[in-house]
Amino acid sequence: MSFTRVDLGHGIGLRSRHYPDFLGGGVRTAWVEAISENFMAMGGRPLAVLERARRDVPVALHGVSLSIGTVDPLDARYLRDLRALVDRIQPAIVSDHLCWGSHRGRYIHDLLPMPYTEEAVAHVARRVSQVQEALGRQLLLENVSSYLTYRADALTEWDFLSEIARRADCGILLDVNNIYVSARNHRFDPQAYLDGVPADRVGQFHLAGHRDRGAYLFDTHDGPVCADVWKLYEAAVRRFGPVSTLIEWDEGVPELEVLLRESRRAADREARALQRQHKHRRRAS
Amino acid sequence: MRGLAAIQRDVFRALQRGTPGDPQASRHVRGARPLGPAARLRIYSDQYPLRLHDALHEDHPYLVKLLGHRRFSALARAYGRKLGSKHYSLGAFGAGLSLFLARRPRGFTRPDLSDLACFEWALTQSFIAPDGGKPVAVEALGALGPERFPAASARLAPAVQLVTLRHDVVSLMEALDADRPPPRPRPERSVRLVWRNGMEVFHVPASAKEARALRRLRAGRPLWEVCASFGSGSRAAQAAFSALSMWAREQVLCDLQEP
Repeated sequence: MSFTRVDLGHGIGLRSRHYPDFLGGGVRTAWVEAISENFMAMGGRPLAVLERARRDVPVALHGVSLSIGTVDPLDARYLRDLRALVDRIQPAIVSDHLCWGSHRGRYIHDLLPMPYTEEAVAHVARRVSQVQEALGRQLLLENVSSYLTYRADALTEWDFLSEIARRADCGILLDVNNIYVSARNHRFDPQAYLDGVPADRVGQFHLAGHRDRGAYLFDTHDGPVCADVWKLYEAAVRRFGPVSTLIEWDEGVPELEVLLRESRRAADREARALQRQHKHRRRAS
Repeated sequence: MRGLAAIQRDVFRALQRGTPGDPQASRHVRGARPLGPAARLRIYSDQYPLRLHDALHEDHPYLVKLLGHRRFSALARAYGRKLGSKHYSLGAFGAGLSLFLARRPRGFTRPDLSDLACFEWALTQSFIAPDGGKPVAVEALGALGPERFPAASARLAPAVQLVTLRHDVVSLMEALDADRPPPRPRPERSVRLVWRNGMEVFHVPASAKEARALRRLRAGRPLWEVCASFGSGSRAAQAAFSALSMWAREQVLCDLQEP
């Protein structure tokens, strides 16, 4: 039972505003992440863009509707369509969220948090194994931003995530912004989250912007990464080492150059964190 | 599974119905002022109709322009409440909008709304339809010759749609494009052929004979039967071959096969 990390460097999301740039080729990014559902069972321009991007750089497929935690049976149509896309694109990474978003065949199109219970651990771990079997490869599960927790919770979120990853033998996509948002909303220490996740399971980072709505932080993906999240990212790099990192910007998507600049900033932050860590180690020895 | 199933049943119902204060749901959720359980559930329940609205909005720009943003939002809410989303992709949410409008829901009784939604949906679906099949070269059709041609067959490309309309929505869309006042609904029965050539979507009216031929192609009928849709005699044969050639050039046809 093991997870093999592939470090792709620093990438950006493939969003429709930038399709002409990608079709033209030569976008200077190390890799791209595409929302799986935007390309499943589809063709035409969207798929042509994805295939063109794939010819140029590695691609990660990131799902939003697997609904791994629902008590519904796994959606066979979803798995079939995702498998077909995976076979066609041969992505470097396939991921989705540790959440639920459907019930009795209806979708809410949101990433609802799981109750952190032993029952849910067993349920999700079993389903992740089924998905990995259906896809013929390992899946990475991402922590979501959340605005509620349940009275039934018996574990911390990081213990919940780590235990599922261990039992299902899957990877972890650690969204640093989501940790920050949830930490503020539920008053836990984000560093404790980082410390609680097994380093050998973390295969990807997400970074994004959020909004302060007064009583809570809201995950919006509509702006640059804030200073506190950059600091937490540096802490994550020190804890986990260099990990494929993506800037998520889904609303009010800026010009490509702005997005690429944010991605370069992440690369600089990673280098700085690793340099500091190296210095600390040299001093200690 | 009792705990997890009960939480998901109660929370989902509250979010979908837009009733975050539902005690059955909030009993599962932690929270204290200023963010009690209901306020926390509301963060999610407020998002659900917005997501459905945005998905419909993206796929129906002419309907938005005709109704205006306020009325379109009301339509999206009514449609979402009635049907919910049954597909993993939010992009599939608009599939039933035309049928919903065909029942003339309160406040949306303009008779051509259903046809407009249907046509916009066809254009969207054609744009994103899976690629598939090997394009048919016009020369390959000609090269079959009179012996092999009748038994050969071809398929319609996955992006092809045959849309039956009861109103003239094309004139309506042209008026909306030109920022002219929308014309009154004009009943007019027609069939339009929608297809994708490369990455662009096109549409033209299909005559009764063309529509019959296209349906026969869709059903996998041999080319002699497809051509018979145009009648008999040399002029009909010429019309049939001309239509097949145009459809081949425009990537309406794919997968030419001989038995």
